Amino acid sequence: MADLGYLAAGYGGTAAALLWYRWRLSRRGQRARSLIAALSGRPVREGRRGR
Amino acid sequence: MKVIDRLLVKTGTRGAQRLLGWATLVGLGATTALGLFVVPADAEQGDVQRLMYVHVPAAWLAFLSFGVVFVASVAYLRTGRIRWDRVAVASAEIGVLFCVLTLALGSLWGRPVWGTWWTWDPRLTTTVVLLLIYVGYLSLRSVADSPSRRAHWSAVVGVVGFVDVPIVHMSVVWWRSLHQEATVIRPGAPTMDTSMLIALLVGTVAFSVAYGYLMAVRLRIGRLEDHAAATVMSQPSPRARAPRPAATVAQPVGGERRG
Repeated sequence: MADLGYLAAGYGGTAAALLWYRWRLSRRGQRARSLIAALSGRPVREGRRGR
Repeated sequence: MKVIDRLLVKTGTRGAQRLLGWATLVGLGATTALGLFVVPADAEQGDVQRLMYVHVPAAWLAFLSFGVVFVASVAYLRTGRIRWDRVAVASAEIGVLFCVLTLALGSLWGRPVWGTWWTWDPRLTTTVVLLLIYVGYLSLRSVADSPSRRAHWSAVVGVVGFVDVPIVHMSVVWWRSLHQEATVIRPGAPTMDTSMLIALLVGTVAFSVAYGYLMAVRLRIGRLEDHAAATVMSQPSPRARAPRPAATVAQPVGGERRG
């Protein structure tokens, strides 16, 4: 039974870490987009690549 | 370098990123199903050994990430193109995440098997040093005052810091260690049951796809953040916008000091 606790913590922690990082990236993207939009006055268009 | 360049263009599209995202979900789901329900438990360690199917791929991913930091840093130092700096910092960030995961999962595995959460074993110690090197790499970037200096300094750390990766891998051979020796990447055949080896390989491929996905997303965010920083820099400062009093222009006596 104790083994199940370690497994749940291990697999659950891995999933949580990956989801947290993905969420953090999307927050950073939103912040950058809104900053560009606020300063330049036009929404950001994302092409294939930036510069 | 041209191959990597072409790969970066391909993974930069929204469609490719969506595909990688789905492939990551399927891969990680398959790893979890195989590791928890299909593969038999270890004869000696029991069910807790199933942590291996995420611990080893996480460690592999940390090594891969830091390897990419090394290659991108060398490329930056040779070409001076800021694109390589973006690749290096994106990979370092993901590498730090997986290095933390490796240590946390190892600690969870070590508690029931070794009887302790942590010990200053050579493998564990060299891995902590590896983590600190790349945390330092990321911290260094906030100290530099110009993008080119930041890229140059961090490229040097990215090259020198990679020296620890082979040391971590060989630590169990060079020094007496509590950590088990390599069972897959070693001279001779892997010393592992075939079903366990398949689950481990599936996990490794799934984590590598997850790395590709996170890199693609992180590179897109990096370009956006650079664009945002450039937009901020291109704005006129409040002082430049304010009208200058005529007297100050005519008689600059006792003006402010620039430091």
